[in-house]
Amino acid sequence: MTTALRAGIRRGLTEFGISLRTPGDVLFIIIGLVIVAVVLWLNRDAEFAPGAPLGWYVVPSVLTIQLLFIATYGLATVIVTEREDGTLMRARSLPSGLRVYAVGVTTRTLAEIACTVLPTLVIAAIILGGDLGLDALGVLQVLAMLALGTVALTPFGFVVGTVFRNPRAVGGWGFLVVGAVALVSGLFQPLSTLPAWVQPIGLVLPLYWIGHAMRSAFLPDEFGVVEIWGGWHVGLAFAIVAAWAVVGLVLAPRLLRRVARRETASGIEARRQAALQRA
Amino acid sequence: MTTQPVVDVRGLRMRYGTRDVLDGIDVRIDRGEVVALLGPNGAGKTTTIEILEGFRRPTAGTVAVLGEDPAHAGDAWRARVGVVLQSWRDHARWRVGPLLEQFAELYRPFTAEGRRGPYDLAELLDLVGLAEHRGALVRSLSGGQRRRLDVAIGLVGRPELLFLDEPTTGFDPVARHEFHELINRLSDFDDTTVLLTTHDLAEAEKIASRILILDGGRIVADGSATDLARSVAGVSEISWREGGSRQVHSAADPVPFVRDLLARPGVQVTELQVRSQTLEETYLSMVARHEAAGDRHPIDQEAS
Repeated sequence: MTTALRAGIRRGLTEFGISLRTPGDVLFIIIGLVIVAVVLWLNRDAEFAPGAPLGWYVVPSVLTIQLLFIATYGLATVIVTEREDGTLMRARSLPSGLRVYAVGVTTRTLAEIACTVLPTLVIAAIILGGDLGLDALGVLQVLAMLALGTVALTPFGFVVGTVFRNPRAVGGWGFLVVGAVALVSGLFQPLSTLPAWVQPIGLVLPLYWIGHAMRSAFLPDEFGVVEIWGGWHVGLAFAIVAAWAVVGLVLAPRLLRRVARRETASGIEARRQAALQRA
Repeated sequence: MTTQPVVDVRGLRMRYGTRDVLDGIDVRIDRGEVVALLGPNGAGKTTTIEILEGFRRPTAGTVAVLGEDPAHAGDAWRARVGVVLQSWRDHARWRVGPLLEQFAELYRPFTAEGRRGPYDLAELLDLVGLAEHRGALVRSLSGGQRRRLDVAIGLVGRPELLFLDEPTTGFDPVARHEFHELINRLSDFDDTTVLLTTHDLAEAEKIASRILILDGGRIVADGSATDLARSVAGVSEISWREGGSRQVHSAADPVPFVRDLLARPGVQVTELQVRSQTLEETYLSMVARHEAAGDRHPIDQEAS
């Protein structure tokens, strides 16, 4: 078990190292950071309410969207692609292979989140003149929610990655779904200002609550009025996200095993032919 | 231990929808054997191998590989089996050395008392002829080099049983020859059991101690290349030069013919060659015979 864990972490870090040396992958991270910088720069003087810069609302939303993108959309893309090229099949042919594979992609995802979130915070701090509205407790709360949020969302990346068969389906539909989830979870504008029928959807999903806990760290206490029940419910937010994490952790390994079991060499060969036809 | 077969399959059936791909197969393979599985496309070779590898569950029959049911075997079993599938494009962004090192690490906890652990990287790369490509990106390898990497991954844990599904596709003649030597060495010195599929009949004849021909979901022949040749009414071809012209004659038993030929007075025979039936000829006549038998019973075909 410890060998699988160690081998998986090493595998994930090697994969991330390869990503950092792949121009396309690095460009993807940089473009994301540039967009964040531009949005914050354009709104650097705007106020969300008297005394509170709009940035204090934007930054927690940005962090949550980044988390969502990397842990579900990005992870799902990796899994669908590696299922098609036979990496998953290879994992099955090795002792402890599937466990090492799962730990590997999770490690890679964590490394990617760290390498996106930290520069984002630095850029935001510079543009907002050093004041992020965070105290020591707030920083702790943000880091805790980033960690818990990753645990809650990563399994769903596995789920999406194993449900779709075609990498392009994830690229198209996955992108739309992620955008829609971000919208109904109040990440673009406060959930309380969205139509009443949307609000229950947002409340059931973990994203609103990840964002909620982030905002409560960045925004002064009195700004809880824009939240759904007119106040901060940080304990509830952590509880709901933790519940999603448990569901995901139970579901994801089963699904991965099931999908890997169905995978066969002849199936991979058939899809390789299909991929060649598309190209 | 030595009496326990490495592969023991009884009454194996595989059905996709209404089509029987495997229709009652019995096979026993002992330690150190190199067995080639031959047959036309769609005969069920890959399906058979995938069942033995534990990647597919059969519809019926009992399967024991290294004493366990592959469909339910755990990591310790996995560590004793090497797998080279038909086509692989994985880990294209990795470099050869780190990839093999990563995989070798996975076998360490399963190294049994008294057995040697996974291969040392340099030794393994040398064995498959990739020594100069240790630092190369996997996607930069040629087709034959990539295939040799697949073989190296199959070998890395020093498996007791090695599955090879069309291992030499894309090999040039030199690589092919080296690969055959490698397989011979594995079975002679390490007592590795090898089960391979191939379309190259000369290859099967060269490296396999035993040949299985699969056709229409059944095993239609089982034995060494010579055994199989004897079982079909084969002929040897005798050719020689006599008085400046080339002569050819076919005979089931070439010995009496050659004796008579050389005993004839006043005839100058040169360049005498006796060529026995190749596996290719045996194979073609066996598959043809099987198909002819199938034609005689069209009702059987319809019913299945």
